[in-house]
Amino acid sequence: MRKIFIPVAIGTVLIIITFGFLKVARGQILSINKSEIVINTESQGENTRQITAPEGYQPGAGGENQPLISFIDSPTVACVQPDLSRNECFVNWYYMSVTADPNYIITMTVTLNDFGFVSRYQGFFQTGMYVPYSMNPQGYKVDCGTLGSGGVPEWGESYAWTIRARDSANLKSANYGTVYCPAFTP
Amino acid sequence: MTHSIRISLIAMILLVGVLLAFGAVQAALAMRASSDQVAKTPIPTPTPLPNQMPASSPEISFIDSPTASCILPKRNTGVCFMTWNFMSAIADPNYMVTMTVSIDDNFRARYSGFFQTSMVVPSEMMTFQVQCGAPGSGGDPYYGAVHTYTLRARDSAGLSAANYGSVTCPADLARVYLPVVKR
Repeated sequence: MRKIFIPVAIGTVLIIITFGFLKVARGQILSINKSEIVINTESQGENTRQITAPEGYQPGAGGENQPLISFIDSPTVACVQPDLSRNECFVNWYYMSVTADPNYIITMTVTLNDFGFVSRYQGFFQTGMYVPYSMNPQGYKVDCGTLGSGGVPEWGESYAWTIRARDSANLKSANYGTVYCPAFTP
Repeated sequence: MTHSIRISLIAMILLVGVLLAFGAVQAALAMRASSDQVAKTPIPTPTPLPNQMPASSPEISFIDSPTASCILPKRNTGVCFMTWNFMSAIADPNYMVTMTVSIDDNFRARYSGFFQTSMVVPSEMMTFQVQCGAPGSGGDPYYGAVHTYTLRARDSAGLSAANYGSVTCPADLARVYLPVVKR
């Protein structure tokens, strides 16, 4: 019996140590590059949102009150063609909002992947940031494109976009999506 | 089998037996009826309800799109603007995927959801330029053109809602005034 017990006990301890190193948990911490790890990610259709932290960050190490930057709330991505006679569409969001309490929000940026940065919002001693559509009432001007140019037969051009936010603890939140514009039919 | 192993096995069996006995006693105490209770009759099987949707069945709501408007902000341009007070729909617990606006069978806007179970589009995000039209062009001698519109919403369960309507615009034609040149 002793001959079996000792190897079984050693094997059990080794398995526990291995899982401890792998950190296989429900949170599924994935390493995306040498300096950042993804803490949380969700996807739905073409939409994805992520929270990342510097490597070495321990979620939950500080207990349940461990501060985290929130997901960016960016509902209702719009592409509107105000004038049928012009190949001009406008992309906008109903609002963008993120919290980082008790850390400060440093920046929030908007990128239209085809063009680069289109907006940068800087925090000023604020733990949350809220950007309504009225701060850019017309939206970002883009080409509407011809029918099917964005990959969907009934619509025009499509534009991939990214919204990023960073807080004073260097935690980052990002939203990724695609917006489809009405087609320009001269 | 050595003496020590035999003793360990016997101790284990006794322990298991004590635990089982304890569990049985606890179960008996729980099932014991009080002395003044009448003997319980078996609970009858409830009559099945008539066929109806369960109360919590998820559905997309009607699209709320009040005050469809056609506005002539600047006379003698022939340019009118169509808009609504707002447009909203709810798809909870499903996600709202898209809402679209088409005017006179042309898509004019697409609003994409982002992890949201409802969608609200304010007036400023849904204003569209249309032709005002000549007086009587829509059938009413006092007004201009009539523009039909369709609002659609779709959720992640594949359900969709649609509003159909038309808007009559003020009559207006573009007028270009040539400068008067004196010789």
